[in-house]
Amino acid sequence: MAGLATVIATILGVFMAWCAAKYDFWGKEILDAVLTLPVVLPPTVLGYYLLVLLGRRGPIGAWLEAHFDINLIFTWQGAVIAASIVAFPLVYKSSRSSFEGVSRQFEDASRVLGKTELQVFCMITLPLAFRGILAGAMLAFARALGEFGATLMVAGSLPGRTQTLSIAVYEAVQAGHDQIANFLVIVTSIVCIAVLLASNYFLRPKYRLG
Amino acid sequence: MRIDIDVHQFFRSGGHEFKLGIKFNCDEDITVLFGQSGSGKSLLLKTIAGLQVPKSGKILINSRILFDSSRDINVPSRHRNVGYLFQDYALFPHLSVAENIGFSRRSLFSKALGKGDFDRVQELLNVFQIEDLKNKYPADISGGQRQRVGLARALLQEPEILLLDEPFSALDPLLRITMRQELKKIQRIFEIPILLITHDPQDVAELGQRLVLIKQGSVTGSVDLSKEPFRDSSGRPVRPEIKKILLSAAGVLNE
Repeated sequence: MAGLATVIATILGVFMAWCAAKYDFWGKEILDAVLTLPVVLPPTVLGYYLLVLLGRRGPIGAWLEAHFDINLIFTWQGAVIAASIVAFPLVYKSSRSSFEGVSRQFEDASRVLGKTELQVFCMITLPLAFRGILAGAMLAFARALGEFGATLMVAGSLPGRTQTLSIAVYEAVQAGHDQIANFLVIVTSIVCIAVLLASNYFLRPKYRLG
Repeated sequence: MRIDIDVHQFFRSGGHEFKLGIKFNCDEDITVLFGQSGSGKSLLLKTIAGLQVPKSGKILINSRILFDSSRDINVPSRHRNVGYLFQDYALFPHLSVAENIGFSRRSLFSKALGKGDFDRVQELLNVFQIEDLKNKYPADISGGQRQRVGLARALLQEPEILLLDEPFSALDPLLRITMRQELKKIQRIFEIPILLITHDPQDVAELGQRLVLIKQGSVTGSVDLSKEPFRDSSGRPVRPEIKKILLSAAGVLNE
């Protein structure tokens, strides 16, 4: 679930970051602020927004129910959406700064060497920005894994269905199941440490810049 | 080989306005555009390569139209077939020397080249004597070597013209002397016309056959350097004469 949320957040984050880095348009910085909001807002506030939007009486929720008979609230899909949105700014921010860090000269050079815009992006821009994007995606994964507030608001806590690790920890402690809590905490910590170690390993530079 | 250029462009940044209006033609092997920093020569080179779009005008290379505002023609950079050497060479830092040189022939999904292209990369590695560097990365080689890689990369696509943006400014003075000789040799081997911009009088004296003077966005003179009084009877550059014309163009010396 956290993995799926990371994939969604990464694809959207990279795309939006690329647009923001490449094009100048009116209200760009406002959009930037809105896109970064989920990381600053208290998770419960974010969850409430999502509930209002995606709920049966919310504009998106009502539309989805009317046309596709889909209800997202209290489902794992809803939890994925909540986690994606919470994790999104982490990918977006780090991708945007890495895209902006790719010198225009490299892109110009490959244009002159006969490459289309898509080729320029895939062969130059993306590989050069890759480390920053990966770092963002790793953080996003860790964040999605630990998502608590927004997920709880949108998806509730149905064991085996919409219960995330951190919610399970909370409930285990509340219920006095110390052994379960210990186990879950250790698992979470190990996964998070592994993610950070892996990201450090992948991010070790293969070549020097400049 | 013939280049016809007549471009107009207008820039406004902050309170500053910059007008570029450049018109010249040339058919020499090596043409040197000389001007101070900020005179618009880099901009002109980018315009020829299609990296900047002028407001109006025409660009023709060998009577092939690359840009013509009156007919709404603007050939994209990737189809202009010009070789471009950036000031600091813009070698791709994530690709090895051989991968950099082969870049123009490489497909989106694979770094491998076809047999014919692979052989041409080998040939260029030999011509530029950088065979033993082929697996190194740009950050690990010297300035002169980077320039060779940049030239080889530009030449692989068999361009109609080489555009060089202050090719020697990133090199130390002694290396410049060697690289100028090398450039002349390359020009003869590949029989490719070169358009070079510089603010170094040495480049003008050593390389120029046609000199185009640029000042504040417009052409202030075009001089044939291949004849007297700029060459002596054995074809060597007459430096005092060349210096004189550069100084008077810069407004330092009034005749």
